[in-house]
Amino acid sequence: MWYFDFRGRAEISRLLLAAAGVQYADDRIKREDWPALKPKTPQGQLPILTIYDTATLPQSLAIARFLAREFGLSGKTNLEQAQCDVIVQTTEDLRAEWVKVFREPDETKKAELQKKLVEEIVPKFWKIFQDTLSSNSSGYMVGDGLTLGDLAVYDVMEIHTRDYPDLIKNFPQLQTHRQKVASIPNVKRYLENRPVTLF
Amino acid sequence: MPAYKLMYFEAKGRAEVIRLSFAVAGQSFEDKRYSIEEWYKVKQAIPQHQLPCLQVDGRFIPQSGAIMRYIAREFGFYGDNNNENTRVDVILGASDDFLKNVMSWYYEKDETKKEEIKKDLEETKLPQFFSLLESILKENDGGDGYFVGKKISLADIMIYDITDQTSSIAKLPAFPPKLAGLIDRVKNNSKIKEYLAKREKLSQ
Repeated sequence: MWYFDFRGRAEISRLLLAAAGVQYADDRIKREDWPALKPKTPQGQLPILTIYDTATLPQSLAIARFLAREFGLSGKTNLEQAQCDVIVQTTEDLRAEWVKVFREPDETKKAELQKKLVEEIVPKFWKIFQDTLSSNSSGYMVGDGLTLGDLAVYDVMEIHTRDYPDLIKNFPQLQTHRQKVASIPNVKRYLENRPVTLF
Repeated sequence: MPAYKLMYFEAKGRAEVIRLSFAVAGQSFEDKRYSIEEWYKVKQAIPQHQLPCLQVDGRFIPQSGAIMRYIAREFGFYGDNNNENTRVDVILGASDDFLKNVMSWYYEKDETKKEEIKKDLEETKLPQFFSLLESILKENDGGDGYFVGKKISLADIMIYDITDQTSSIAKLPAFPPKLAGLIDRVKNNSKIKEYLAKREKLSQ
């Protein structure tokens, strides 16, 4: 796995690899080394996943779905896979809202957008995740075990759970879910040892 | 046989790739198109309160990316193994990235900025996207077949649709040779040809 030294668009795949108990090289590219590497990547972007030095995959969600299918974490039926896809696409929509605020150059506008993000947009998405959880009886997002859906929600909630610790108090089932995911032994070990980054 | 109902607006937008997919699948479906007034009445009952949404066997599947993959898997055009599924996803991902540029144009209210975005699309973003698609296409059968495997897949359908829809808001550069061949191949797929003929008729 090649990405920058933050969670960003690679973390979902790092979590999948951790959950599956698979060894891999977690290469974190320094900003100053990126321009030289960029033209060598399939689409001029990170993350990329290289497999046994033979295949190079771009596109964070293609990588995540590839790993999920490879390790049996993508859902057992077409419907379950679709339910995982719904969750993944929804987390992408939330990520896009966060990125919009992150990239806003005007400081005053940024503060306004951040307020709206935390007060309206994040709770709207978290409600969707909680409703998905509640409509499934296993305590997992999809089916009866851990899937890409659980890890995608865990990952996208990380930043606002940490920066606004009161927010999750309105979502008790999501809080339980976070604890459930974080206590899976492989995931727990990974979370305890991974680099701590801002985003 | 489950009953499929695709819900969207009276437009191509994010539903058209799904309509094309049903055509390729040879599967009939209810093509529900809401007016804005009708939409406001049903909105609260739809998960995520957005369209498109698929209703199948009484269940709702929102999110166009989830719906298109569901149909493609159901009817066997999402690739035949994980490597092929992933190749489809790489192409869908590249399309999603390109689409962000079109959406920037769509949402820009300032007319001057809108013109600049359109110019950038025509002079930079579209040529880059086509060049990328050409090189991805050449990885499979030298570019003389389809994007993935040996038959039409969701990747081919998406690329046809995104180029078709973008052509209505910006002037497309010439297709590189293999991509031109692929677009023709998709348009001449018997089921797509039949669907496009009907669509053409409806818009007149």
